[in-house]
Amino acid sequence: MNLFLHLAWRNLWRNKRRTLISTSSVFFAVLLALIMRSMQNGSYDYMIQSSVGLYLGYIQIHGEGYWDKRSIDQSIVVEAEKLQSFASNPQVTHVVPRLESFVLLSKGVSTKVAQVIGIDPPREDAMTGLAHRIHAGRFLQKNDTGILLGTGLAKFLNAHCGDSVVIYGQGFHGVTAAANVPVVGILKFPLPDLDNTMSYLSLEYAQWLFDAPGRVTSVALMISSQAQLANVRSQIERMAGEKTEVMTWQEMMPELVQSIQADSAGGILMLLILYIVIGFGIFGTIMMMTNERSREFGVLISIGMKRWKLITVTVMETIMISLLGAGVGMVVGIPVLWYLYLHPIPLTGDAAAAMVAYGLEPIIPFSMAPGIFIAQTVIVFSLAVVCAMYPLLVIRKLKPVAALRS
Amino acid sequence: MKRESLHIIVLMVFSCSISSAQDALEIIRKADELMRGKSSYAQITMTIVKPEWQRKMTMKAWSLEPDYSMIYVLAPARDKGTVTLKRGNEVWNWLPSVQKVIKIPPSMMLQSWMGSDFTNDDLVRASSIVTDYTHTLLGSEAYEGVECYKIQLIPKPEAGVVWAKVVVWISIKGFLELKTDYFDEDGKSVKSFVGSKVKSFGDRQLPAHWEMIPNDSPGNKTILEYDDLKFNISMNEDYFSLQNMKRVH
Amino acid sequence: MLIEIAWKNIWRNKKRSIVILTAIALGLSGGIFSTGIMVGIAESMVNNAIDGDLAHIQIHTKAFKDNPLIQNSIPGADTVIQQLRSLVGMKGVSGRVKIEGMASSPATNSGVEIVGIAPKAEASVTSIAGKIMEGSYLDSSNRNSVIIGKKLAEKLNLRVRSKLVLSFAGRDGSIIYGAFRIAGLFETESALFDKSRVFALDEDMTRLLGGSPTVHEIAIRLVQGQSMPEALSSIRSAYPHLVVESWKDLAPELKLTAELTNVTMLFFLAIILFGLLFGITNTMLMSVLDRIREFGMVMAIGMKRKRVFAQIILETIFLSLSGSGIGMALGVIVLSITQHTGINLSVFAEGLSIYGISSMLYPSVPLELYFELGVLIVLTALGAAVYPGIKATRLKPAEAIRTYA
Repeated sequence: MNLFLHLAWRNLWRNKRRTLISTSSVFFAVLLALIMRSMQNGSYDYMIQSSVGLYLGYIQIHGEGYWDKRSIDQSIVVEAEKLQSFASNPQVTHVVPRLESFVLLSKGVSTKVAQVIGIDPPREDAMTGLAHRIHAGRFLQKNDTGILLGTGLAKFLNAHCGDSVVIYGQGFHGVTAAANVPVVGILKFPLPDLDNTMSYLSLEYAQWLFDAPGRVTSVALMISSQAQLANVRSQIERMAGEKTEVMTWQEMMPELVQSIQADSAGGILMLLILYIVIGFGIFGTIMMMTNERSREFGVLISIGMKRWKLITVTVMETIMISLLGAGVGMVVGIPVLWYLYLHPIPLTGDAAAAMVAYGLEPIIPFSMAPGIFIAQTVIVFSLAVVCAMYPLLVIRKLKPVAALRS
Repeated sequence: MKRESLHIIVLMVFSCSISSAQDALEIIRKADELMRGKSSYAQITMTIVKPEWQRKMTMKAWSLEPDYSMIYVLAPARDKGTVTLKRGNEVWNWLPSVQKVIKIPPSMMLQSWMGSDFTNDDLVRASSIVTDYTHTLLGSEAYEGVECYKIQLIPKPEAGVVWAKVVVWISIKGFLELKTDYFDEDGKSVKSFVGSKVKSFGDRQLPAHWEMIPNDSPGNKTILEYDDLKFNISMNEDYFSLQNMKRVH
Repeated sequence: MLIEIAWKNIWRNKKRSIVILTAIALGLSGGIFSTGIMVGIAESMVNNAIDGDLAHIQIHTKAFKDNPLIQNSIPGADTVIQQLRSLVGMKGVSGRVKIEGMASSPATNSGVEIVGIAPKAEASVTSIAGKIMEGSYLDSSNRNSVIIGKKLAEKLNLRVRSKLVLSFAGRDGSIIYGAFRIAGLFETESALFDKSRVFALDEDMTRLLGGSPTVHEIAIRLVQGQSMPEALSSIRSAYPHLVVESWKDLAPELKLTAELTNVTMLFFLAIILFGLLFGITNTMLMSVLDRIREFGMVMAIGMKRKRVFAQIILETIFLSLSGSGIGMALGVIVLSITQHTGINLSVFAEGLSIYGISSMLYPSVPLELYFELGVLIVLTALGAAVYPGIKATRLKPAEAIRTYA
């Protein structure tokens, strides 16, 4: 065995140029596969993050039965220490408590049904960027007694900053919730549905208004990455307490799951096509390499080398080339992807403008997940090894006399 | 002779069924009249029962049938002074804490009134039981030991009521609407309105204790207790005005 | 002369050429196919929106756009609709009554948008008539009937022929109740649409609202091939007091998805081309190295280096173009087949329905793509040819002649 390895290795370096060409084809293949997969994963993660970051969060904690019934009666008491304990989980990046209900907003003779959310302003903004949507006036502060309205809502009520609107609805346990609130800011959302129905209060004020001291209807969590979701979810469940439900974004919005899956499936298709292309590239080089050496093989066989020994050495050579190419590819891939990870490719033009309008950053993001490196390197390596079949077949069928004359 | 008697028999049977339909309508009318009179004043304690909590509210209610009624909430403190006014098809709320009258839009009409199992819509439709349905007397049946007319109400085609059918048990003695069941198209009773504890209120006998029970949510119901009930007091349409909402007490 | 030689040279090593040709062909056809899929998805989304409800053009009053109240209807709508129908390029014109209200059943109630339509006119503009899953479409002779989405029926626990009560605010703000029978249930690609839309007869709505016929929205479908900008400008000039918008104005989120699809495609094609670039470079390099002796010889007997370089470039280009020719042909064939049979994506049906994408996908590719790809391939080939070409021309003829493979 050792002899074969030795021979294979020396064979490689006998013809540097040829080895270099073959190795480089594997090297580039790995690099391209890494870049493509990293981009796909990056986009996939980014898409999830943007979608859940708009409002839902990766995980939410509610009172039992809240997600089905959406009644303020199913709100839960969450103390500051509880929020702190959620935040102390190293994977959790944001903890956002909310008290939500629907109410009537009225000004003059105009009355409209609206969704009102009591928020913790700095936390809410950190997660969803709500403050950036301020179109007029100012954002909310802690303990704020003012209200923010979507532009459509404000228009309907003919309310501007400084005007007061009446909130009327049902609070906790059926109590009447009624108050006069000044409009302190107007928000512009990309989706008109939101513009026409959303309004925001500070959490403390909402808790007073709905007679629900210390209560929230949901706590939304953002985590560092989709990959950690299951882990964090079980940890949170243990912390959440009785009579609560902990849900992931997939459980809250199953349609979103499928649409992302559909995207991912498309991505796999493209990856397969890439593999075919680079696979042929590698095959081509190996094929050429083998053909070039057919005279050499003919000589060896005619002077008595057993075919199977020759095959073994040649296959080892191919494997070594693949290992070398894949290994270098992976090593070089690390800094390349790292760079792209830190400096995602910016989009311009219409696509960028459209994304920005939705509150998304106009970039193509990349992922540094270790799984990518291992998976792609292994796959390309395997492709290359499969190509080793060619020299195997050629040598088996080789007619030494014909080869000698080529 | 035979033909004539056949005619007579047919006529009698025919007039029986017509008269039973008329009877049914009459019975319902009588019962409704008994419960509402031309006008009324009531003092009511409403208890909202939920699986996890309960809430008690007391209120005064004036009504001028069929189009006007006003409810003034006495307790608890947070809701005190809230007034609900119904004029015809429309409902307004007066909120003393913000000094504003708010009209309830169509989308809120089907939301619960004050957290109870009654909706704003129910307030508005109280008399619809007479006008929106065709009535058939199904016979008599005992309810809680009291012999009752059992009357089936089928909504008229244009009537904007969701029920497929309503069945009412009205006591033969006294025309008390003891139980009303509301059915969906599958024949399932979605909610029941039940009266008990008959008392004397002025010139009439009526149930003083009512329960509205949604049949698909166990542990939920709304209880109305009439602490006081006076009928045919002199009331004027003007009493039921948006301005008066702010003054009533 | 050079051209002939270049061409013949490619086929000297059949196996090698075939391998790289196959790579190019598969890569390109794959690229074309996936572009087809992505474009198909984007088109599906847009078409479903247009067919389903958006239509090509919608007309409202400015007041309605600001505040969708009942009173902000289009004045003289009947006349406007008649006039529009006589314009060139109109496939269908439909006037709609639009009211926000509540739908209630014994079980529960739900906020809905009530759309009063003239069934035949609407059927000429949108595809709702074809989306009836149970029961039947609206018919003017069948008064007080509605069609609702299957999902809404489930929520309300109702079926075909069940009674549905609609309530909404009338002109004076008073509440109007109407009892209707469900004539049919529809199911579209958009779950949201199915949950929130109720279609009734415009006559029934007019009757409930009292007063003269009210139209809040006119929807227009253009004949295939009619130019949108032309149609828009002719309508706008005829009715300057009304707001006339195309589907692009009305649904910017469709635009977003279309743009993103483009970007993804470009990126993907770029990577494929890169892969092919390396493959071609390697192939040509091998081919050149094989022929070192030969090049050495021709250069020694006087062939200019430039011509050698040019020859290699030509060879590369021919190789690439042959491969791409096959690839494009393959791509076209696969596209035609799948365009005909469609690709079944029902596994993802629910997720796709958020975006309003059908489960049946018909890939399609804009013609410009083939042209663009051709150009890109040539550029790739040129890029690939550089290194081998340099290698060939930097040879020292004397040494080269003495090289043995």
